[in-house]
Amino acid sequence: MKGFLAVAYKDLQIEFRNRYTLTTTILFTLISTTIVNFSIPSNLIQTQVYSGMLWIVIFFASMTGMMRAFVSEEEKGTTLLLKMLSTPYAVFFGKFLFNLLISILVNLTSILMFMLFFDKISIKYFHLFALTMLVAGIGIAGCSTIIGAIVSRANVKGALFPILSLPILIPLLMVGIEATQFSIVGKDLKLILQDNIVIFAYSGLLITLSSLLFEFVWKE
Amino acid sequence: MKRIEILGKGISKSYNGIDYVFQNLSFEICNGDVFGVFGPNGSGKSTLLKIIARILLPTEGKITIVNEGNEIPFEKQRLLQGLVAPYLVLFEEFNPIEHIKISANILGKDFNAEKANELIDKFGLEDAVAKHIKEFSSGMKQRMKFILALYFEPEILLLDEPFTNLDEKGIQYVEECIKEFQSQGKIVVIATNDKREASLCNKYIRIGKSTANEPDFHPSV
Repeated sequence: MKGFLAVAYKDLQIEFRNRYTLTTTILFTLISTTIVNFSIPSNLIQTQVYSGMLWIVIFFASMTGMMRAFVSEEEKGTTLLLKMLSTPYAVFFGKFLFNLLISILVNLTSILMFMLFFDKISIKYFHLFALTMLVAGIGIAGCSTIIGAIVSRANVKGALFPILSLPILIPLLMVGIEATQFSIVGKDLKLILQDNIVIFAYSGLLITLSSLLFEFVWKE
Repeated sequence: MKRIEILGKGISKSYNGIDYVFQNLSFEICNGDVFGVFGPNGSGKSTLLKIIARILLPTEGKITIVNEGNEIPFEKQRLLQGLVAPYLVLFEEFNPIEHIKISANILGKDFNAEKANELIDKFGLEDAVAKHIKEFSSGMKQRMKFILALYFEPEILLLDEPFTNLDEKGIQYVEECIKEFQSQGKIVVIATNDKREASLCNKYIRIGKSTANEPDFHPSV
């Protein structure tokens, strides 16, 4: 139990010192949101477009940052030390926790930027909107952790990561976009809750299966 | 004192499923042994060391670590072993104390600042205690690897070319450590080509592509 917290703490300490993931994801979010703002005037943007654009920014910002959890260990050569010190279980959940924190940060930054630029759109069910973002963040972090571990040893990591992640995240993105749209317009409370349950269940399944498979990815 | 044995039976390793690095290696390492793994470059010495550490799976055969006749699972083995090797890279963003503390947390062991400082002093890194490991020279990094391995008081010390990058003083201290380990009845495994390192071993196995099927270790060098 303590081991995975220590792995996540180690990653956070390293991240606070070199700030690679934080800088990359936050800058990506800021730049992409600014471009969306310039390309679509805020008075013309519709809820569907707003929701879609928000998810595009979240998806690609996550893909940019979350791959680093395993790739940086592989690039620096510290994987062996981590294997000596930790169990596969602790590594998986430590990296998952780190990715989850990054995911929450990406989602928060994206939402704040969208609210700032597109202030004409108000979110009717903000609590459900926030819930969708949180449970979707759990799913994205779970997917990024296992795919990050798989691609960390590949030569074309940057290209492979979003390609492998997208098919796994499609169900989550489809339901997430719908729940986001409905919570913005304040429509069909029951459906939003159902969507959140679907995202949560899918994320749970994804994380459980990934943690079981991780040992085979981790051990050579 | 724990009675730990490392038993290797029919160990073979292939990375591509076609060519074998080595085949059918069998050995037995007991308490108080300084076990040498000798062989030319590319013969698989480091691979065998990783297999003994159980961070690499053998293609065939089995490594068993036994304590009082009971097999130790990997989750417990990692608490009993330390590795010093050129390919072991430290978390270079930390200073020595931070590194030991974080490693202890990951391993699930207590951190003792006094013990950590004592080892840092012994290995002559007291002036570098505030520096990040990325600022260390190769020799200082090698010393830091020994500090990290010895801090956790392992029962099995796995060393791959242990004198690499060390000056005479560092080498002498490592030699003392190995002899101390032996006198305490602990196990040391050394993968090497160096005669000075090899002279510390009381048992060895020779591996190499041409003699991959070497039947067993020899009782003494």
